Amino acid sequence: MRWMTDTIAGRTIIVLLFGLGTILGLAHYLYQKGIEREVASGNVERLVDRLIFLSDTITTLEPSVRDEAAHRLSGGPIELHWAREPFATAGGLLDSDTIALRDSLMTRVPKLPGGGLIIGSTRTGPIEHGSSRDSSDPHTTLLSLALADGSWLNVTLVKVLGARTASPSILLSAGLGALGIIAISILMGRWLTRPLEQLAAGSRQLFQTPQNAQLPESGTREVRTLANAINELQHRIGGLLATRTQMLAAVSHDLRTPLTRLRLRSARVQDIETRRSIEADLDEMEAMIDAALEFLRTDKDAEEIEHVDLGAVLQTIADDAADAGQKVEVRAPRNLVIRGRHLALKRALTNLVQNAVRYAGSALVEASANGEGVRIVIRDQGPGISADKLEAVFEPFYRLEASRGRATGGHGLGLTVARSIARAHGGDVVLVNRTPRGLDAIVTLPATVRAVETG
Amino acid sequence: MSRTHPEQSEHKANAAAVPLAHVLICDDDPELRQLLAIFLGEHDLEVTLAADGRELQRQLRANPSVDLVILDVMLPGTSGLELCRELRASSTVPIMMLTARGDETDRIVGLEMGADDYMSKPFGPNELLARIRALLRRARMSGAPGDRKRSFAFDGWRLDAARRELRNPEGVIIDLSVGEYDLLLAFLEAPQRVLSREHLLETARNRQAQAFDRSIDIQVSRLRRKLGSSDESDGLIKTVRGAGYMFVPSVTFR
Repeated sequence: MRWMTDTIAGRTIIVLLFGLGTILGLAHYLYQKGIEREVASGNVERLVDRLIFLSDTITTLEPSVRDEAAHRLSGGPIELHWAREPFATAGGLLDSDTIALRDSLMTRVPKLPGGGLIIGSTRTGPIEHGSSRDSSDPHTTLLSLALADGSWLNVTLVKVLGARTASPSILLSAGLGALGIIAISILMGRWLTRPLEQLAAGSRQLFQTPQNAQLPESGTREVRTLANAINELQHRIGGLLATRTQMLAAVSHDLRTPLTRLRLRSARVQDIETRRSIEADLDEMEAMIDAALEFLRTDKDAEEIEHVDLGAVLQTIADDAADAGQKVEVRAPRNLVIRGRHLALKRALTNLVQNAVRYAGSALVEASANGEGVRIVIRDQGPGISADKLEAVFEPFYRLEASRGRATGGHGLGLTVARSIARAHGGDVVLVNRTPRGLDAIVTLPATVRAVETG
Repeated sequence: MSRTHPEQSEHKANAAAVPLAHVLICDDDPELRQLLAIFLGEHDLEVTLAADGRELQRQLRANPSVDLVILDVMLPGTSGLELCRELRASSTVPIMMLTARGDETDRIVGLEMGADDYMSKPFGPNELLARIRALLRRARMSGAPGDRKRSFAFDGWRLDAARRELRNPEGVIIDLSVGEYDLLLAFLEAPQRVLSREHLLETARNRQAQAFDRSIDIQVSRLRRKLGSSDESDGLIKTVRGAGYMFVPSVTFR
């Protein structure tokens, strides 16, 4: 039932059922009343016709047979007697039907008003309009009609109760109607809410698609207005982001010249120990700037996609690490070719290997290819990362506790950049703790892998 | 603006391999210009400085003997790329562009505009010196820039010297370290000739100080592995006992 109030479709059903139910009930009531009135007035007219016909017929007969004929003509609610005298005596309370009968008779038979019509009723209680008693209280009305020769036709009218019109068929049709309404409102609810659902889906996609994507401003006016508002919001957010990105990029960019100057100056430092330290600091700063720029890199300055041998890339990373005195072992097949961006992939893999070396002192890289793609696992023997942080470390500038932080030279963007590069290639990077010790960084890059025989 | 440093430095021992050359540096950062002038001067290069395009043109007219132009991409007024194009239209002097690291577009456009090499800021002084020497050596070997070797082909492989990109016969990019690239370039510039370890070490030195100490044999074995062969006798690079190494296949230039 919660669905009924929680969705527009449900609410539409409630509104439609309530409104249409009210209208149906009211219409039914009015219709019923109308029918009753019609039937009642029709009855009076027919009764008058019959009474006139009967009195005319009786008049044409010989007086000796009149009473017998009258008895024979009796039937239904009418009982006839012929006599020289009127039986009826005026009195009793007349209901509305009887009054209508009297008025009609007086109009139709001109000689009756002059004392030719006597009406009496057995009813004695007050007439309560609308009460059930009115119809359920049987009573008899006596009419005496004066005939042309002065004799009387005495009529006894038994009020026949009209059957109450409520019947199972009415409930059935109302029930079917309600079902129909529910069915229609489900369809209409869908129709009403589809533009909204499309809008919601579109908004979600908005931030996954390249910048300045716009929602289509179509659908109903309300949806168009909403789409327009979201587009404006997106435009403004895009503008703000672009400004910040440009600023950060400009700062990182402008640091390059002073860094180059520092490199040249450090070459002039005589003390070898000091010079080494300065150069190490410079290396770290450069790494940070490179990571920041890589993070801020937009699609337009991406490299071209080419066939790249990841085995050679991993080999270079391992050799460079060995030259820097680090222990990195690579186990990769001869040809690990994928389509991708060469330098970006190298950067991503370098980041992951350097991460392992930084926190565990060494790394083992295992690469393999299958029909679905390339899988590269960078294993270390370090302390790992607590399970609830395995995703958080991919956030930009996220730092684990101090022991894994600045002291070991992390800059908080390595994993972020690695993952964003892998994802730009349709792959991903995840971290998995090993038991009893160690961390695996698992890189998956999707197919378009082909085995190529080199040399 | 011109400064020379005739005083001998500790690098005197290497100077014999690179005869004195005249380098014109165009960068808008005055301190960087000065630092470059001091550093290169200490390594027996004559250095002339220019702050922008106008000064560059003036200095070129005043010093027609300039052997190498180092040109920053980001210059006030006329951009470095535009200056490079103008310069290439009227002169054969080797040009090295200074680009921002990671800015692929500047690098590629610069090379298309006729630059011979590029350095990414921030760069280390030793790397710059190695590149300058390599560029001067190549310019001397091949003469006019029309003949300058930009792309090498051997045994189905291709090396794009401008992009520093090696492709195997299937067109797959094979990643090279800086040391491997320099070593391969040294082989490609003198194919089918026996090269001594000393010569290779001299030409293949790169910015990493520790790589200087790396045995050239290790570099060669790494390069062999990248070229898809670890076989010492049958591969592209043949060991010549007691003499050095020889690059076996014939090389074509473009």
